[in-house]
Amino acid sequence: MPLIRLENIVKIYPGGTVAVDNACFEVEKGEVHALLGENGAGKTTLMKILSGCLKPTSGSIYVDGRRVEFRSPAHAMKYGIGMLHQHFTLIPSMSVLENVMLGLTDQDVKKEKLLKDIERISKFLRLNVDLRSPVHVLSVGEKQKVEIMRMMLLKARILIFDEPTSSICGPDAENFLDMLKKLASEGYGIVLITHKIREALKVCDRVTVMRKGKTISTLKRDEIKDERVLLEMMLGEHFLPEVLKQPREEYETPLLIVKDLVVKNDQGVVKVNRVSFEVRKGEIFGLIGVEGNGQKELIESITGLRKQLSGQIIFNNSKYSSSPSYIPEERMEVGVAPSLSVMKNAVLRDFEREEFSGRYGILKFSKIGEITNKIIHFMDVRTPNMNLPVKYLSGGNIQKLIVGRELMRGSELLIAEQPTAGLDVRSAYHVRKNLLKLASMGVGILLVSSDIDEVLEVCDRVAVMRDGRIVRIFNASEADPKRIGMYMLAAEVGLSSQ
Amino acid sequence: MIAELVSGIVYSSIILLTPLLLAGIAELLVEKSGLLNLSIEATMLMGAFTAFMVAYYTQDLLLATITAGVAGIIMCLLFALLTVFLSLDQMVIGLAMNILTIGMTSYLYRASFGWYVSPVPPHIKETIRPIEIPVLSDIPLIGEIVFHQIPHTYLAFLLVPLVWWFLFKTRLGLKTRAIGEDPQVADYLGINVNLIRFYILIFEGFIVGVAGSTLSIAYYNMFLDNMTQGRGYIAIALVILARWNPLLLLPASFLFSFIDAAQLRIQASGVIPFPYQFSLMLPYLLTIIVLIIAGRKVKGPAALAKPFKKVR
Ligand SMILES: Nc1ncnc2c1ncn2[C@@H]1O[C@H](COP(=O)(O)OP(=O)(O)O)[C@@H](O)[C@H]1O
Ligand SMILES: [Mg+2]
Repeated sequence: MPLIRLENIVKIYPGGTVAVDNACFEVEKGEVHALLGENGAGKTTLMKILSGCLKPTSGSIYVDGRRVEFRSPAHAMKYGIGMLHQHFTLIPSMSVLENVMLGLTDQDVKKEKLLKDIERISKFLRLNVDLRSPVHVLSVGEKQKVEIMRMMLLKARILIFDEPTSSICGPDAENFLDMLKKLASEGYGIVLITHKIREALKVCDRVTVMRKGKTISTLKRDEIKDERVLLEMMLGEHFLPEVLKQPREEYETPLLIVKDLVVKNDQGVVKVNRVSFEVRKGEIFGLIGVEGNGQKELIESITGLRKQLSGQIIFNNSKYSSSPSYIPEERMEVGVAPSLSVMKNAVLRDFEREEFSGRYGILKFSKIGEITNKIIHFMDVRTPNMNLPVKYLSGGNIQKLIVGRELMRGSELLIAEQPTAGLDVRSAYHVRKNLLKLASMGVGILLVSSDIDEVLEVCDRVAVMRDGRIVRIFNASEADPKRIGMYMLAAEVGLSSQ
Repeated sequence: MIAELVSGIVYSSIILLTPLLLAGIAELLVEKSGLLNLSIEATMLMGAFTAFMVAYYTQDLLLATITAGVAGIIMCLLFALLTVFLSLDQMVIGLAMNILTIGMTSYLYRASFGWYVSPVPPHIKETIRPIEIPVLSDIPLIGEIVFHQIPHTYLAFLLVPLVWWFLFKTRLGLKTRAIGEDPQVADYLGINVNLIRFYILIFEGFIVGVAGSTLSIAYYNMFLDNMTQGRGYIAIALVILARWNPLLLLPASFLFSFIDAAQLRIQASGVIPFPYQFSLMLPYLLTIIVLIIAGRKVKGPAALAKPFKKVR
């Protein structure tokens, strides 16, 4: 008997969107079950129903064969079902210990036992943090582990992960997937929500594919011979071609020059240590590294979010008016104003331009509507209308909106941080194609990515960052995934210092 | 001579401090849970009014104090109903309640004692007396000043470490801070946000009501229109000044009342060459200056004053 069974689940959101349409799903003890589908397929919604965050419109949930109805996430937790959401459910200003203790009910108060359990679980998850440090200083990966720890302390039996690797990169993502396997071998039932086929195939015992709210099919790992089968199920159509690098002119003009840059993080630790590079006109310059090696601080100081300690950042654009375009990693915090409408967010960066605001600062909504429509069509942003506050869009659609806005601004320099994170296959393809197109039009692009394949696919040069330094800059011709990976991790003895 | 003057000022500043510290410590707890209750001004005024009325008609000061607390609870229940359960804007409701209560207490006062207030306004014969704490009050200097106060003062001093202990050492305190930082997350984790806020508001109502009673039945023996004179707002400013830390609230409110006591002394002495209104201004001016210097980089609870609505 499966641990969990969902039968004929339907979810219609208040706005009338049918997000889940007669879906069936089950989880066994000790398996990793991937839930695969494009953005908007209804994966998150279905799992939120399973974890008690949402009430299904109809359908039934069985735990250990008995029918249950969840009143709240905490209630579902009593049945051992926990979910790691795309947005953290941690309180940033509170310490790790306090965050872990928050969810506990009063019967498990015993502090000594709790500390012992925490130590054991930390070891299991390889989490090395000071329990007293506030959560906001932790890396994304560490935060995830704190959340997992909390669920384990609450005696969860089913752990649901919603696109967990979209915010961590390269080798870290690999480690994370290994950890899922380890959890499953301990007897936990694991659900991995993802839109990355490779990732699903790497760890899963079974895959369920969703499309347009329906569960299309559930397959065992060894029944899957060709990943294209899955792709077709996901898309409902045929395969996408590879993005092709077009031959393009080579310019020498640098658009962005970074010289001997030193940047400290909030704790006063030097995270960027004498970094120098330049991004030239018409090239895509990739920046890759394991999370926490200084990429974040580097980009923050280039974009002006963080003061540098020393060194120079020179923008060499000819048009004074065009500030660089920027696709931030933190969409909700930096990319959009969540409670403003789609339309206002579409011109958030440029509403002061003459084309959008008249002489007396009165916004020209017809013009703004036009550009919004263009972005929506260009990126296929799914939104019921343009006046909806952005926070009601799904994560992928918000990302598309930001990417569309920044791509269409027409500036000479684009700084793109994880531009395809959280996007489905088709949109990610679309974004990469357009990055190449912009480059061929002479735009210089600084691409920060955790996806080695993506970097190799589009970049002309790739810089690997480790411990706050750029340890190597590859030309596209000499780069291959293995060597880049080695530099990221300093795996070889010979590489350990410069 | 100087020592006597200073100890005199310190003594009266502790008197002035009592209602501020009581209201401040209660408001601090409420703000830690994410609510901004501006209506403590009204709650305090209602406490002062109720205490006086009960004391006037029954001559029972203990009963008067407790009734003031109950009246405070009723005020905070109204605030809870509107802001916690109906998710209305806390600032708007708070301000509205303050204006309403000034009018209401003045009206009820006149309805009871007649429209023309006689030259000698109604007053009570007995007020709350200071109590000496045995042994401790014998300590030279400090004993005289600190341990020779009305019970309300001791209550205020006691609440400071208690609230600190509650917030930082108990499970419920942890939950309280969590709902002040992020009620959505707290709710997700199964914490009953509204219920905790409701209880804390009841506590605040009682304490602030009692704080109001000190004005009308301890320091004065009568009720005056709008006799709180913005002490509720001062208490809120003191919470910010104390950076939402209970232990800092004590020095913060002492600083304010010390200046206030000093300026009263100066006024009474009549030696100053400038209008007395200037010295009236001093404590407030100083608060603003200290806020500018000390309050800049301070962050309060992240969800402070934001309405919370459960969605599912
Ligand atoms: N809170 C919401 N209100 C209305 N519609 C929603 C809400 N959340 C998601 N949707 C819609 O439901 C559909 C499924 O979304 P979701 O479950 O997030 O998909 P996935 O996780 O597979 O990307 C999408 O069309 C999305 O726009
Ligand atoms: Mg999703």
